[in-house]
Amino acid sequence: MYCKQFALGPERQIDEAYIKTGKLRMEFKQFVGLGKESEYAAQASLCAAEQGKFYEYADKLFREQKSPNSGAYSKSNLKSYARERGLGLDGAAFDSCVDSEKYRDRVQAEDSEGRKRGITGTPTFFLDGEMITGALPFSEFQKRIDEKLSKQE
Amino acid sequence: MTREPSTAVAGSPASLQERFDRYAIPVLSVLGMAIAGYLTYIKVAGAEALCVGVGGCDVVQNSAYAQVMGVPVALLGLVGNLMLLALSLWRLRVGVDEPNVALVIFGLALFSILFAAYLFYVELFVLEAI
Repeated sequence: MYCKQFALGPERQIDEAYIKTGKLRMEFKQFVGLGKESEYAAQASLCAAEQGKFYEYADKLFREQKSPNSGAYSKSNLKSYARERGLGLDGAAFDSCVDSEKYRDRVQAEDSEGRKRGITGTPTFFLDGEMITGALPFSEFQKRIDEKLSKQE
Repeated sequence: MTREPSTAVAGSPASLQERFDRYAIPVLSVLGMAIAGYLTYIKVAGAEALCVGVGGCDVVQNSAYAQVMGVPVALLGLVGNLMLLALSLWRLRVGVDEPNVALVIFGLALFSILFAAYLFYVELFVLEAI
């Protein structure tokens, strides 16, 4: 729920203000604390990344989000979301990627890396090594990012 | 993976489901605190409980079942609801989906429901207050 709040709000503002201007690089890591369906969704997002559409597909997943493990992220739903017009994903390639579960190990590895770094909930951020928990408003991210940037100058 | 420009408007209004997920626990725990607080006051002040609909509140309030090791059960309810309120507000303020906190909230709520069911059983079949 709060990842959605971040992805459809502050993340876009951070993108406009810092990423597109080359001041910040953002790396997304999977953390799957909410059961089987969140694992499937994480793997599917990496299948979309293969086709260069990670964020577009992730946004679609957030828009379709319902209670955890309620069926919203079943494999068949994940495949049908990929067919949304405008996303421009190759459906057949996406389906075989999802069915193969080729990203299962990668998702699990990223998840364990997160747990080792002390993450217990989502979203959690590491800004230049500093852990930030929760979907903060853009102004809070702005304050922290500017602080880090000013130290580097 | 860098972010591509998106056509969607930044932010999105919270759905009914999301609003329910966020506010149901804080609202219900405040209601629970109000009831438990009232009953704690009655117990501590020795006042007479205002019964709505069916009688027998005082029978229950003054019985041996109304306390656990000297602590009024209503006070336990007040503390339990306060903990639920604190945890749910923390989650709301930080803005984090935290499975461990969700589990603690679930455990507290489950324990409260089972304890309330036991007290209801006592009211009906032991004290025969209703």
